[in-house]
Amino acid sequence: MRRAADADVCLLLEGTFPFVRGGVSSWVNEMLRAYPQTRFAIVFIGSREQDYHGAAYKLPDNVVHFETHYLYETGSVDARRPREIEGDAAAFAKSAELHAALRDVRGADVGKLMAEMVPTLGEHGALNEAQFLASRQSWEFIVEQYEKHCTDPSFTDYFWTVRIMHKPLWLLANVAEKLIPAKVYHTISTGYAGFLGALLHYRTGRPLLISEHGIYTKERKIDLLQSQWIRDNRGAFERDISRISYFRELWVRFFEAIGKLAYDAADEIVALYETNRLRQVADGAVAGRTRSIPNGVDVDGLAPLVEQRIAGRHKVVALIGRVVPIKDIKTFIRAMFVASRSMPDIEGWIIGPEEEDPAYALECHALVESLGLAANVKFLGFQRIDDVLPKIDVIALTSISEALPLVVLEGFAAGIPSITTDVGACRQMIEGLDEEDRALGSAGAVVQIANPAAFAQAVVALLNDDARWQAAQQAGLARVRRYYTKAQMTDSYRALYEKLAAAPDVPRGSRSAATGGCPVHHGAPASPHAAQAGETR
Amino acid sequence: MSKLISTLVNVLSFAGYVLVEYFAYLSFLRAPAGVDPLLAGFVVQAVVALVQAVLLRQMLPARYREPRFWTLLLLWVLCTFVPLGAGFVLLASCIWAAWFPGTRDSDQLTDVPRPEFVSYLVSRVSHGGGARLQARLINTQVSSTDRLTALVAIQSMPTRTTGTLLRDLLADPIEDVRLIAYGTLDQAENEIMQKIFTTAKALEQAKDDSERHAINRRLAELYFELVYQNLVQGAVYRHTLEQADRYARDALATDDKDAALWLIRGRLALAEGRPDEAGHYMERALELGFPRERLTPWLAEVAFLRGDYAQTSQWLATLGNAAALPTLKPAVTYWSS
Repeated sequence: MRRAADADVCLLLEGTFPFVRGGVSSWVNEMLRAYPQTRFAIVFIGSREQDYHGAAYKLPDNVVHFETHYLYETGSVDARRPREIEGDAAAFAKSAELHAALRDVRGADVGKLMAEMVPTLGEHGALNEAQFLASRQSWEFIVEQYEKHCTDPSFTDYFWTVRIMHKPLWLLANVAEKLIPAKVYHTISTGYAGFLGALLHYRTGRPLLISEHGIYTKERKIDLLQSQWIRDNRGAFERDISRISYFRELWVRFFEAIGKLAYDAADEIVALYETNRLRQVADGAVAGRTRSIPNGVDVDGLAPLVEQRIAGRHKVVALIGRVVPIKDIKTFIRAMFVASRSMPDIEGWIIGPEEEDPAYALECHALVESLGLAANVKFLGFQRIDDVLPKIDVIALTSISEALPLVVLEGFAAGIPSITTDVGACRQMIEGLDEEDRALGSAGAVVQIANPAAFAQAVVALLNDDARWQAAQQAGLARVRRYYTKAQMTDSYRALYEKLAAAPDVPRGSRSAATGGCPVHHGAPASPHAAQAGETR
Repeated sequence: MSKLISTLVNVLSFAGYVLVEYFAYLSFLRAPAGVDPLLAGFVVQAVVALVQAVLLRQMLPARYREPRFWTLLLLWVLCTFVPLGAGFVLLASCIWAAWFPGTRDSDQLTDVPRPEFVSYLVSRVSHGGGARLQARLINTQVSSTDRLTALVAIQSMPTRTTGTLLRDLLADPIEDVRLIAYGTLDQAENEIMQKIFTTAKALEQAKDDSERHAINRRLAELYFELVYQNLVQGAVYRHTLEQADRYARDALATDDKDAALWLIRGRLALAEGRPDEAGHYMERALELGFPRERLTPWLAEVAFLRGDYAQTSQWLATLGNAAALPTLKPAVTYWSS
């Protein structure tokens, strides 16, 4: 365990580096190595210790401080019988005010309320964990909220949902209280890590930087809306089929609220691409503090691969990525099945580790077998990218959710066009963002998600049209060299770090969470290519 | 076993109780000279009583042991002022209590007020919201939260009826809608694919013909379920039909008296546009005793596809108005008028 007295940048990581592999983790890894002079502290937040099996990445030497915290560790049974405490009425009134403000964000200064509340959440504060768990004020507040708002008949379920939902927040408050000082706090998601960032910001007055790959709040929402574990106790007469069950809604609102608190506390909010930035603004981020910094790849390092390509008929389509459901490998396999009808010699390669979700990998193998595709589709496992890229003619990406997938950029830099689903920044990467970018031409094709026939058609069309393929290759090369180099990315973050580190301390609660300057109204429908993110590889 | 041990502990505790009392008496007899024997005896008894109180407390039933301090204090007072007697009185009362237990209400239970019917939940419900779900979903002008709510609501409906709608939503402008629509379809498909996967594994290990027949039959049904639930499209749809038919054939090869399987083959042939073959299979199912009224709609469809409209009308007429399903009713009315 590394320990230090202070650090330059404190990274708040939830469920990623260094224990979990994926696009976000490798991005963090690269960031750490890009600034060898900066001293980093890392706070890892996970669910339970047993869910992580050792570090997947080695910590570089400039990580001077490292600590882990688990939010859902099963604690020991209460040693002593909890005693009822009265509770500080004024503190609970403040908390009620904050809850009311979160319920209706218009006009309320959530950031200021939060700033006032943060000191009371600590171990000896007026709103500490014991107060939440055992005070009469807390009980009365919960009962009142239930009677006023809850549409689910079960009070028991309501009570425990509220308790379980809020419990991690006190754990994070304790973490914030004990954490070493840093010049800049940098969280790479909202959610619990973002909440911790907000706590640290209000406690220390140091700037908070949020850079999101995906949009955490949205991913949680999708997840919660589909989950099976949330109960709905409404009886036949109480059920309004057109309304979501109350507990589901409560969970969604909880994550929306802690996301909003993080945005309010942040000094700079970075998205990977424009669509996500608009989404952040729609979710309550102040537009003036948001910006986009795209990922970049080592264009010069990959350039020699263009020369290594052997001219010939194009027939190899490769999906480079972990074999997991979010990549929708099955759609790729089905697309290969459809494509093989018109192009029998087509080859589909699936390149990526299969350990993360062995059951899914097995299903994919079974699907290949049942479609009789053994000759066309190959699982190559983990491969060195330099070895395989020169042999690939088209990079395929069938994911149902992506942010700004690096593999597409790496493909471009190695002279390979891409066919992707219409997710994340894919359309922006393939067709271009603004006029100037679009003028470079199309570097492949974008199709609808989960549509094997459309995907197959796009693949076959591109492989069989040499002129189009050449044009797509040139467009990809030009685009990645102009907009997506690694140097551009590291320079942007270096400038941000330097600016924030030099900023003076902000006195507690002095900065209001401005409500003006927001070009998109809260709750407005997301823009046409509303984007999703997550692990990119 | 634990009862035996607890009895043993009780006996030992009581023996210990008597033993320490005996030591106390010995010390009374050898009281040192120059000290008031009564005072010395009292002090010794008070100390001994402390040990006795701890021992006797062990013998008490669980609910008399708490609160610990007060129980111990009472036992100590008893043992101090009623030497030896206290223990026997306690023992006797414990035995008495064990033989004639009192009918006392447990203090763990208390009265709760009678539950009330909470009318506010019912009054908040707007009924009939379900009917507008589809309209809300298709209309992209409706606010996105409203559409998401509608989408979550239709998750619980069968994919057979919502499949087409969900598939259209995969191209929706709002990403949240796309993802949830995808998730719903994917889950429905995965459920069946998982079963197919495990059943196919079982087929490899099947030992005899009857087992193989059952497994083949199940595989045919599962592949057919993919088609029925509207979960496969295009080339994969045709492939799935072939798979279903293959397993149905394999199952019939071991036992060709399975009427339901002939119906499945018939419906697969219909789906592939081979009405003559379908008619043949349906006839076979009928011969094997499949209920005529359930086959009739399919036979009518076969006749229709063959262009034999008189026959179609005849088949549907046999259904009668009463028996027809609501979805079938317009067809029956049309052909019988």
